[in-house]
Amino acid sequence: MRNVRSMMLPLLVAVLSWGFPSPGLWAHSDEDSAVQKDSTITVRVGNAARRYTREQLLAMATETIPNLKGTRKKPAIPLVTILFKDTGAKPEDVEMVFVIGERTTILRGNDLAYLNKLVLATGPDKGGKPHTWSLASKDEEAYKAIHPHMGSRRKGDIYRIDVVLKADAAQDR
Amino acid sequence: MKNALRIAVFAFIMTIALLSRAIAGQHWGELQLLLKVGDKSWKYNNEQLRAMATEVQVSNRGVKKNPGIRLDVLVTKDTKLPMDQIIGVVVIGAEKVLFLEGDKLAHLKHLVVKFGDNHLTLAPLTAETEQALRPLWGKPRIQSVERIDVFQARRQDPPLGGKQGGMP
Repeated sequence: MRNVRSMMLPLLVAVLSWGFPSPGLWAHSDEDSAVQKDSTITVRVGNAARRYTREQLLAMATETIPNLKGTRKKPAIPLVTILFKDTGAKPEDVEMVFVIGERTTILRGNDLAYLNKLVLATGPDKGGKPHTWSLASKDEEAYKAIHPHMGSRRKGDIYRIDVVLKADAAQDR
Repeated sequence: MKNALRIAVFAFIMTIALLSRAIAGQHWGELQLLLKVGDKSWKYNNEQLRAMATEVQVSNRGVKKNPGIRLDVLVTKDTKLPMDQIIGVVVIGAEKVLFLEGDKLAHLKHLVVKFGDNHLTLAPLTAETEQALRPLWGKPRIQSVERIDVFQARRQDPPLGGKQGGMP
């Protein structure tokens, strides 16, 4: 009986600790959610939003682009695929595209002609953490045209893309 | 005596557990805002945001007053950017993205980031600003503001104009 009683206290502590995690654990769960955020991409068109998991995104990757060192090829999703595949939007209806990651890239006007030359690329998982998605141009012509907006050759940590439709197209939807 | 000790230990454990829960509540309910200028970023927590609030905005229903931070204060206070160096501001909400450039930047001082129940909202201070910006975001307010990106003029940037853009 005494043994049972002596075990009750550690058991109670364990149960309470499980039920009410410590602040340290919450901080850790925040890191986890950040990783989760980075490996998924949300595409918003007007009030409709679609969130793609990493697996869904990899399934959409129909192209490959070389990494910056040129040592291997990375799977890449054409930007037009992710923009128009499920949204029902048409390229001619698009007024502006915000690609939000470590920096926000705004594509509009003449830049929209290069939408089909832009891809979202990723690499293999590192240490159990999924690789993030980067916005990259498929060729030098697109890079030179978009470069003033992108600043560097690739923009990393893309987690969200917002599409703004032209007013008349938005009313039709 | 033994019983008293047991009760004391139990009370101690329960206090620790309840305190942990209270801290957790604060953590989950904490508002955060990310401000980015190029590669630099500032992350503001609830207390820092409240310390910056200098305006008061009446809620939509007019039932209470919410503290608010003027958008021009928010984008210049820690970034040390002069207003004339700012060529674009992107306000990213959970459901909308608002892009201010050109003449629209004059409305920065008439916009406030205000505290909602558990989120930040971007709202116009004046009817004039609301009318000027409404075509851009459709609704009078942008809910759940989570990030603001500021674009700074660079020496090689051509002046903004036309449809070409010029954002970094």
